[in-house]
Amino acid sequence: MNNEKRLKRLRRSMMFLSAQRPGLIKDAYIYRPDSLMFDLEDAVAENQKDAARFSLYHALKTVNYRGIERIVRINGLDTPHWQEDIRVAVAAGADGIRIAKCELSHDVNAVVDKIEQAEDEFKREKGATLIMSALESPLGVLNAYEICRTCPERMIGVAISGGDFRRSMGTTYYPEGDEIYAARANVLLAARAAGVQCFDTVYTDIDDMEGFIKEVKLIKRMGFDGKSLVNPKQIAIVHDIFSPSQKEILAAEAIVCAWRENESKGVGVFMVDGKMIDVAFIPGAERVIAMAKALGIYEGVL
Amino acid sequence: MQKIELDLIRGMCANKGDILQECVGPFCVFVTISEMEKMMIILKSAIAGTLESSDAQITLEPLEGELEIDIQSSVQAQYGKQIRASVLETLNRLEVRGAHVTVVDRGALDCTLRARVESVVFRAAGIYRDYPWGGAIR
Repeated sequence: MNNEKRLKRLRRSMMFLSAQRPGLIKDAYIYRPDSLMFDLEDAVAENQKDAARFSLYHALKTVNYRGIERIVRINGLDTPHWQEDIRVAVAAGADGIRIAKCELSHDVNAVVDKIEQAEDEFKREKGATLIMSALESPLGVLNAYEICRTCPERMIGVAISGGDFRRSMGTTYYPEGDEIYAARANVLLAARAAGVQCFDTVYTDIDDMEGFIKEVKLIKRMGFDGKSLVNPKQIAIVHDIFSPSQKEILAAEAIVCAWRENESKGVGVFMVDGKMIDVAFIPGAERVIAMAKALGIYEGVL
Repeated sequence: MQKIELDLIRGMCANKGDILQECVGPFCVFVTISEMEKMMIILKSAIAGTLESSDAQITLEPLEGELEIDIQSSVQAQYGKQIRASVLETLNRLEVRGAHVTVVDRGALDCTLRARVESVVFRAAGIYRDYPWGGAIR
């Protein structure tokens, strides 16, 4: 896969798992998330950070994750752990690194410098390790655009981390998402303006599937690319909601075909199934087709 | 030892983890830099891993000049030999010359076992960063 394809790959579901728990990491590929997030940060107790790295190293080196993307969440830049976390992730051949508590483009640059050193030390191809940033504070959310534009050759995109964000705003979780709406909207705008992906925060009440479905539908409508997950049973729901239906695929196909035909005749505005269509509809329709192709459910002519 | 060599060792120790800094003094003055690079000095007892399913808990205690390995496993009859071989191979690779190692296995995969042995050895040596990923750890 070339770097452009790697940066833009499908990431509807990113499942978190503690790198310290052998029972979780040895066969996590069976749930088929798009990405696995091996956590060295909050899911690992302070006195087990070292053990988690050894366990991560051997898992990434020996377990065949069957093409699922393997990202490592490193500890924050305000801890003594992040540099060794980067060394192990790069040495073990992780596909990417998630920067926790990112607030400034300077944070991204510090991580990239260390990644470059590690790629050199462990003889990995320069640029092989992608990055993404987790925005967990008002400052991080406000700086989202600058963060998204830093190191474009490695930057997958940004994720909101709701727990810390809500705490720093002096609020807590509400089912309608009012308390995090401004952050979601701002981070999405920044990601789209910078041309990178955007991921929503985790939903921690794993028994409330109704609330979970509602939240996934909301973030799909807003335009997110995917969501961080804490339990395998959340994966299928996200995939289902994020996958285009046959009806949507057929409508998108009709728009793209009609546009190509009309464009060659010099016509800019035309009708498809009773609706006025112009060039503004094309990127959305093409995105639906691209996703259907990525999912292997497209059988049309495009 | 010449002062300049001591300073060199101190400079190196600063990059090699806390323990080597501690050992500069009566002990380190007798080793050369190249010897220090490869030796694994077991300073204290340590423990790593858990008793959860698919894991192994490993205890390591300093022992003079020999390796002793005790294994408790629910799959001892089938895998006891393999577990011992894996533990021994990892200890040798890390240049551990003397230690008493106790393994309580809960059905750990070979890669988990190796990870736990490495954790316990580096803890016992007091080393918490600049690990030799892809070198002695592989």
